Amino acid sequence: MVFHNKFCLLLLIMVILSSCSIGQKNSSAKQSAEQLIRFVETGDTTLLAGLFTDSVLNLMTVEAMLDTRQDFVHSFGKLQSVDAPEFPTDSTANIVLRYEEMSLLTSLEFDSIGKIRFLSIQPEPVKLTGSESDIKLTDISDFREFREAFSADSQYVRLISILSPT
Amino acid sequence: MCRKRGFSAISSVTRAVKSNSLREYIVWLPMLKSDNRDAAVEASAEFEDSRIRYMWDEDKIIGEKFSQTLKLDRTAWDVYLLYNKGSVWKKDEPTVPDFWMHQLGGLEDIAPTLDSVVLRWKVEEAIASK
Repeated sequence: MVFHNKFCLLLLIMVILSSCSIGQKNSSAKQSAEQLIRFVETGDTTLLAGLFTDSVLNLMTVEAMLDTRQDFVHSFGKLQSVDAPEFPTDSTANIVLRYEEMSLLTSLEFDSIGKIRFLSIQPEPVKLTGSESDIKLTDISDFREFREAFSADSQYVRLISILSPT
Repeated sequence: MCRKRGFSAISSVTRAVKSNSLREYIVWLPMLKSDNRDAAVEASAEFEDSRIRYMWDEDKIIGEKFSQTLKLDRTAWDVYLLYNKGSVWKKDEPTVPDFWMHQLGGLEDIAPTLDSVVLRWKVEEAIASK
């Protein structure tokens, strides 16, 4: 399966530079993330090679990245949206790619000058447990709120479960 | 008993259906003495998925609305309601679901009892339909 092979290859792109000191989050890392998103959205490879370290490019060429982009569309449907990148640390970023049939979590690590030295792509994880503070619980005070939420999602299949919490 | 079995079934369906074309609403109602908002928060923390919204219906507004829609003689709870793409509620009450299941006694002739395998199949069928 094409996707499986590409997926494994992406997971193999793990270059650990143990002696490298990571600089502070800088505009270069942010620009790299934004240019990678541009590539995902448009397929524009003009600046792609410059986003990655040589170690990554030795493992996966620009042409292979373009093929992978096309495989994702083929496997998961049209790209619907890309979430704004989150930077959990100064040297890492997470980007969620939302396709019609699957959301993919792209994890990046940057070197000291903002080039991508690590990249992995995997299905957006389903958290089986979470801290209570992470959970958003909406209080329903009238039916109109619920109806509006339901209608706003009209392009989706919707499943409503009404349950006792204990 | 109800929440454990029903919530477990819904969680398994959600895990199995990977499509981003699904959205879920899990509405907690205070049906038992032990039910309250804190319990709803605790229950919601047991399974998280970006496609799910958790809601607390203190006054059973949703339960009563669906009781009318499904023509039940009691508050609607332990019910699982599937709507196809494009369904909208224009009036002040929900329309009849395209498919639904339940865990309530005495309703076997009206709708099937909850079965996670069947529900998953129905959800996937709805997603596949254009």
